[in-house]
Amino acid sequence: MQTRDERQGAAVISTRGLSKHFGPLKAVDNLDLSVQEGDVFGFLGPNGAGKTTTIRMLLGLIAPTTGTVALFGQDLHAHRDKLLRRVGAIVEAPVFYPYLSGRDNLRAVGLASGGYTETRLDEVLKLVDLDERDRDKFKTYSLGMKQRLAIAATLLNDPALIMLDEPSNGLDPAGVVEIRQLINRLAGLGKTIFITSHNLFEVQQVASRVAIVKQGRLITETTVSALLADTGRQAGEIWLRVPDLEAAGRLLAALPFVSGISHNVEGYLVANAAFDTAAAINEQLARAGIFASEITPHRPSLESVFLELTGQEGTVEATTATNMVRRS
Amino acid sequence: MNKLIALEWMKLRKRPLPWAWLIPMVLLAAATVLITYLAGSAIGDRAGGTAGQGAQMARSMILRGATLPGAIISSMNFVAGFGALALGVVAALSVGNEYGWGTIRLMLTRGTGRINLWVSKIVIMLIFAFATALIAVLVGILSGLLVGSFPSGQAEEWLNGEGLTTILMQLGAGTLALWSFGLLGILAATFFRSPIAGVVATLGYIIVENIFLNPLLALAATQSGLLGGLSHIREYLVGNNTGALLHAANPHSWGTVSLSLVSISGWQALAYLLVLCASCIGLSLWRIQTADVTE
Repeated sequence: MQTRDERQGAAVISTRGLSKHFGPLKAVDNLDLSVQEGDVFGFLGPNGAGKTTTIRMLLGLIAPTTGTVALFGQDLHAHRDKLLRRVGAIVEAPVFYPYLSGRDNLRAVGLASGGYTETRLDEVLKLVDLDERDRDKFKTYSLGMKQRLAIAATLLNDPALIMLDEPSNGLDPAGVVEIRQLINRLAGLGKTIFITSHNLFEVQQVASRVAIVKQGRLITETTVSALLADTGRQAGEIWLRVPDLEAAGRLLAALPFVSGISHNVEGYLVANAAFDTAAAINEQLARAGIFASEITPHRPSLESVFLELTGQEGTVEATTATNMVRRS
Repeated sequence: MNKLIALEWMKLRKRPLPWAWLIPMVLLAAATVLITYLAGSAIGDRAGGTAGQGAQMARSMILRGATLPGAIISSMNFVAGFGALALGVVAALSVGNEYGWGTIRLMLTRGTGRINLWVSKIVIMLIFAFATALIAVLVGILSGLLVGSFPSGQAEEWLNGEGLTTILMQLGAGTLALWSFGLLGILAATFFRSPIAGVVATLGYIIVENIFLNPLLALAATQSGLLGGLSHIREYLVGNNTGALLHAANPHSWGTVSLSLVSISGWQALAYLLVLCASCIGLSLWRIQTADVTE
């Protein structure tokens, strides 16, 4: 089996100059994306940034105003039906026929995908832990069960590319963890996964590459580690527990690689500096006879990078979701 | 395409609505035949003289609609009206709910072509229309057989080549009549991308044609000038053409003779309905192919 690094190289999703205008509103504006084989690609943006519009264009549900979409190296417009047979997708909320059972809904998806076997239905139902409720009508399912059924439908035709639009929306903490584990398992099987979310902590746990969009425009597209490292050199923090906060503060404020000093409510001295400067700070303090009992470099989270790049104060729902998961 | 038709068939037969229509439709179609028999039987046959002859003729004519083969025509005429509502509503919901529930996204993201998906719905509505027409014939035969066991329920000869041809013509005409309303439902729901709007538009048309437009245009026919000219619009109403087609598909005048208020020939009605069906299919496919699929 190839490793993820070996598989990477072929563009599974490629957009060039992709735009969608609704009257005067530019929902997506000149978007160039490239998702490589084996990527777990996080597509991030605040509400209204154009994430769902983009995923709809990637699936041929709406036509771009300008620009092109290629999947697996082939033009989506010209080969839509053939290409989408290799894709599994959840767009927004999980939608199914409410009067059909979970199993019948999967049969419907299977027929629409060109065929299925009952054995494969059993496999995917078991994988998402719905094998004991498969005869119940979809309308009786909880939100978590609906989401799991959507994932089962996504996996039914063993797709090479999986697109998940806000997959942990509305799930309880246990459900969020389940989805995360499932994504990691699918990534381990070599699937390319394109995931849109405003739950940044979740994306940080699973994504290898991210793109951040704001008002329809691409702000950055890179690996998660590169994004955090680049921003971390500018936006890292070193937390210090020292006996003399004032003296230590004066000393650190004079250092060229420290951009600011503050105290936090937990009694730490906080130096705004890249996280890899912790050793240099320790050395300077020791030379001045100030011995820190704790030195903790804080790397920025994807959330803080996201907020900085999008110029957001932080949406309530993103922050709440992140805190909820952290506590769990 | 076969798999998509199988998919649409599964969705249709598991929906509660078609079954909810079927039971009252069968009961009411049978009731139509029985009520016709009761109405005919209620006309006394003992009166003498000219009045007595008239009453006997009326009684005989009405009873022809309750006994075989006329019961088949009575049943089909009822189902063509009641079933038109059913076909229109079921078709509008089968399309509109795809938008309302968002399941159109589920289907289209599986590599199902839009045209193929809609064609499979159109084909299923044709099968549904045929099944409904077949049920009308079967209910007509069964209730005719039942009435045949009653006093004065004498059946005429019908199990011969001419009779079977008439039944096949009734089946064909009934299927086309019902399918026309199904296609109107599909067209309305595809344009409005909503189940409610699709149902309201389809039912609205049927109600307006039958309750308001037909009487108004009949009234116009008694006038002269521009108002009188408007009466020709009736020849282009769907219900009048389906009625004319069913009438034409009864060449041996089985059953109670109906008085047609519209002078539309069978061929004219057939041509009109075929053009209507082709237009509904073409416009629906154009709409689904070109419109964005969003909410």
